Amino acid sequence: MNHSVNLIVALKAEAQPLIEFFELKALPVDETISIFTNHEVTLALAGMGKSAAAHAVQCVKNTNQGCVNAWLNIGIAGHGEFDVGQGFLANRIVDQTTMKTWYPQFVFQPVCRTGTLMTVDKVETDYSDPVGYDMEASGFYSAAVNCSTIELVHTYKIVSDNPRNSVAKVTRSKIDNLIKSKLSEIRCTIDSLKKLTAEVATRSSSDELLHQFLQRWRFSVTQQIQLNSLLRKTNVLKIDIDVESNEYMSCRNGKSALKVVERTVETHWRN
Amino acid sequence: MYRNIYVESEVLRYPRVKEILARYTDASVVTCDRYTEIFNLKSQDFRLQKKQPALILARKHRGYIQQAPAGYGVGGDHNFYFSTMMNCLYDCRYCFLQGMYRSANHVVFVNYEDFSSALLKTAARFEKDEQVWFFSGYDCDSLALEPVLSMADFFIETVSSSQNVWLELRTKSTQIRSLLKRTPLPNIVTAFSFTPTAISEQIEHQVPGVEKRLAAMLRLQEQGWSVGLRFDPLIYSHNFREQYQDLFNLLFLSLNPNLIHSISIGVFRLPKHFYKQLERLYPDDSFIAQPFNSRNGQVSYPLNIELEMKSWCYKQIQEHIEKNKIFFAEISVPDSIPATSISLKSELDVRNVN
Ligand code: SF4
Repeated sequence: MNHSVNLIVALKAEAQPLIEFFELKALPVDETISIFTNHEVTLALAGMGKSAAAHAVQCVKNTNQGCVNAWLNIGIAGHGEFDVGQGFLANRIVDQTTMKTWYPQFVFQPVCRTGTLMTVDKVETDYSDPVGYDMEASGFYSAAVNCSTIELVHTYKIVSDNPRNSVAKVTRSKIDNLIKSKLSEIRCTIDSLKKLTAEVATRSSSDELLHQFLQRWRFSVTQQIQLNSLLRKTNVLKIDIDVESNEYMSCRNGKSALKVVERTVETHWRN
Repeated sequence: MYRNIYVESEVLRYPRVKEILARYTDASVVTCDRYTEIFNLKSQDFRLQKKQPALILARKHRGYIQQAPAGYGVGGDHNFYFSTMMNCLYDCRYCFLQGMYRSANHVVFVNYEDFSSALLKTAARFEKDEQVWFFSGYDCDSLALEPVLSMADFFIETVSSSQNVWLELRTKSTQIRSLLKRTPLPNIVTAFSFTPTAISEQIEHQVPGVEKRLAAMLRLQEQGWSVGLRFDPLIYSHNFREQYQDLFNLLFLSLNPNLIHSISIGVFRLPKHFYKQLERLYPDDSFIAQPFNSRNGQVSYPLNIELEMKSWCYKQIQEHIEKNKIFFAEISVPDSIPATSISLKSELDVRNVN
């Protein structure tokens, strides 16, 4: 099964350095957002705000049907404590409006600090808590965890403003520089996610043998599930199945072929 | 060991929590309202989480002590279990926890005192001449995290002055220091689970080796503690007789039979829906891929294999140990075994855990 790490980015200034670094090409898809891709990474330029981020997740999901997806929201954020230029992965995302909270799960070693990220509706200038402030994460996260297992959904932010550095001074070129300065952290995080998606993808890969069965006989949906599971067993247990053998040649339908596989696997017990 | 620790804000100030956190100064500590915000959510992946489980420190609010399923016991009059922890440090491929929880994070309920009062209150309902058993290690390994949690130490203390209250610590661990530092108590049984070495190496990941577990048992016995042996689950292979013969010889020729409290035997079995979950998580695993049979909502070996293994193992074990110390832990019963020594398990009780 294919797998992909999907980056959801709000601003063009955040996206551009990533598009260049990963050599992404524009995909001619959904007209409401721009999607860029290469063989391993897909980037959606979502626009600002929670609903835009959630919509982008949906669009990418639609383009990557049947694929194991990891999701990474990348962007700049304000912070009540961290220095400008600090990258961090969210270990808690709080939606300031609803106070709903999510806890991203780390099954890899983060290459940067982790911390709380508060998603706000208006740009935060008070920085009242020692947390990060952004405008997308809660919308992104709640949409992405509906498409993938929680361990594959993360949010990476780079601090662009804090109580000592006003958000008013955040320019397009400053954003560009901030993202460029953290490309290696972003790359490492993407690599960790890629490894995980690859692992999950191998769990559901179908193989050549299944293809041969499906070409020769017709199977109901239930029978196909049974067949897939049985063929996996033969593969793991290293049982040889030869669809050209007499046993299989005499099978007139999927049901009888399935029976032969079942019998073969069962006789494996004593050998 | 833990890189991510979640703590319910309610328990943040507990001295026990502070002690635990002090061991993991490099971990990222995140507070939450309830552990259920993190544990066992719909879209979690047990296998991915098993790579790096987080520790969740929480408070249990009710249901401290549970009635053990019928037949769970090892000769007592009343059987209960309690779980101060959910999930395990080890990774046995047959473990029911993989099918039961979507999350592999370790949840520890730190309000041991509430469990302890509930335990003593439960025990007080029965006559002094009745044996009331409390099994720990139902949803975890009782000793694997003892250096961090001191859980066994705490509950040994709880039952130390009650003669009719028995505590079973079920484990595959060698963390026996809390026992060794005490004077042995007759009402504590540390029960070690075993499969033959070759099987253990293949499917009991991260579990201390058979020899190491045996060494821990011997140290306990030397000091006067009684131990239990749990051959549950029995794992089939075409040469299971040789494998189990070697295991039985190793154990019974080393251990003092007088300090073996009990032995239980049960074949691998899982509720069907747990097994389905395991198939999804580990389609590449040769143990899971075996062509098990499904009977009465349980997945296990074909009946002939199940009966053959149980009766053969029973016969071998009874050559070393009195029959009244041997217990069966499942539903089907081989004809060749005297009914008096068999305790039947209910359909619900099909957990292969420690
Ligand atoms: S079977 Fe026991 S030791 Fe193994 S993983 Fe499960 S709880 Fe832990």
